[in-house]
Amino acid sequence: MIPRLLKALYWAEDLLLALLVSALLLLALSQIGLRMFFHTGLEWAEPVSRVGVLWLAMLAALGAARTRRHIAIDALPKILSPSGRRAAWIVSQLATAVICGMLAWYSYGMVQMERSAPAAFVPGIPSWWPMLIMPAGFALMSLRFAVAAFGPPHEPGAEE
Amino acid sequence: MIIGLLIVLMLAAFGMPLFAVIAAIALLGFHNAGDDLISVAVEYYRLGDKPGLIAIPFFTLAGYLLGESGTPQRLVRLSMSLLGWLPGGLAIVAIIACAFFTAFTGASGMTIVAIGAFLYPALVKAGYPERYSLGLVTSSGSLGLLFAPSLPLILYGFVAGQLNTTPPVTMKDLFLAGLLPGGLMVLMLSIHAMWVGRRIPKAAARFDAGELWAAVKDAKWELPLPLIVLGGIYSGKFAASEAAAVTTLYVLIVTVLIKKEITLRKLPALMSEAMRLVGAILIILGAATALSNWLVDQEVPTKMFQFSTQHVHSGGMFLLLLNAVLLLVGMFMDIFSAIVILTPLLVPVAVGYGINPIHFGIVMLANLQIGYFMPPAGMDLFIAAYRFKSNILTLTRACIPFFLIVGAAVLIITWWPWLSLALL
Repeated sequence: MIPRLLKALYWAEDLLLALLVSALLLLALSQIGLRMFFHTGLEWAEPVSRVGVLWLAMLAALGAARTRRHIAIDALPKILSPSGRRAAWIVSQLATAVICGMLAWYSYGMVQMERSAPAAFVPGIPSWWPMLIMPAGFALMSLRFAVAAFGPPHEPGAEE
Repeated sequence: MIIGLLIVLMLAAFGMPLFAVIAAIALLGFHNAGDDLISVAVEYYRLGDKPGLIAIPFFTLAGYLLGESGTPQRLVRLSMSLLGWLPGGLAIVAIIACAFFTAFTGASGMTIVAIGAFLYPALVKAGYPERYSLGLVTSSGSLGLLFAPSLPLILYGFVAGQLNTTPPVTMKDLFLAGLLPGGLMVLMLSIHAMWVGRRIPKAAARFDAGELWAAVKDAKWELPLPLIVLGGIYSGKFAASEAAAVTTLYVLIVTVLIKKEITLRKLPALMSEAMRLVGAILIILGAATALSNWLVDQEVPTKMFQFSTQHVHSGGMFLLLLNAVLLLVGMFMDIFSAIVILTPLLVPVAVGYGINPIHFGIVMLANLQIGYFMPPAGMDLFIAAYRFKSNILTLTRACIPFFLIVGAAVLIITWWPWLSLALL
């Protein structure tokens, strides 16, 4: 049951990333088209696409935590014995979970601050909405790194 | 602060992802300066407030699509029919194809997988020494990252562009600046290839105009790519990020609709895979933005420049030292992290010495390129070891001549700014 749920989750995650980058591409292309052929443009396109890149980056980083694509210096773990490598893996992954937890917490603080002095991101959308990806993304990443700590260590070079 | 820093560095050595390492140092720094740590989150969030960043996901996607399609094969066929008759022809083909391909995939290790994997057996079969072939495909995995639109080039342009230097660093100038230095590397490696291939009788295939024409027709959809990437930017019609969007659209149409080499079913998985690489890079960039903000707050670049001028008196000396430092950094750190961390620190110092920041960027990238195939952390070594079922020691030995050649090219690029600046 759980493996099937996880598989569905991963599939949904992949689809979300693909849809997000497609949407950003569509937005950029329509801006170009509007400018070249109609000498006009969507006013909200620029801020939305900038924040869109941030959302994409956070969700993709969450995915990278799953597929262990995060860039790390793994020269030392490579020469450790299997049990030493395992220990280094557990410590480094748990520490990453803690850092992500802190980033999630302070991002939440940032959202709270923004809410107390609201501004408009684009008409109709308060400026703290696009910020929500920060606490959410880092909290989920924290969870993912904590779970990974108890899985098998990453095998360098095997990802390609 | 010192103890905290030591703990973080120890965790880094244990394999903690670099974004967490950098974020941890930033948290420590802001905490030490008595700032509210919410500032770190605010700095991170500024990633979503900067123009031009969108070029990174777009070009990465285009590179992944090309890598999964038949482009690598067509590229090799075309260069083979064009250059295969030269002594060392097949090796030169490998060099050129790798350089072109890396420009699009940003030296993410895909070149070895997509091109090296099928050229290595071909080189050995054609009679090239096994060690040379192995060294060639391993070291060429990072060749071409000076050519637009490679990811490291865009990343440097993005980070250095924020520093408001005089002269300013723009994507447009940077793309031009990389052409001659990158060309120099290709040329030097090709001359070496001719030398190695001079006594291999089978290496020299005859020139065949019919085959060349067939190869050109076969690759007709790929040939306009450099024009699409650069033409729009230099005609002034597109910004770099718009050129990225148009390029990606073109590649999508060619690979999915025209050539049908990527099925619609495979597309979401491929897109998400490409984006995960982007995520891994951008999350480091966010952390580095926070860190460099703190460093600038502490006037670290200014202090570095003052310290440096006391001991290093000329720009030339500074560049030489830089070569050594970057070589060392490249041995342990990947190019993306090195760029986002070092650029804000070193560019102000370089500008202080009167070094053009665009030339500086090219020197930095060329230098870091060597790190890709240097032990102990060179990514291409590990990918090649995995792909070619070899071990790191053998591969390192095989890479020594290439290390020397690319190293010599880096020195020339460093000391001859004209190469980087002539086309601007």
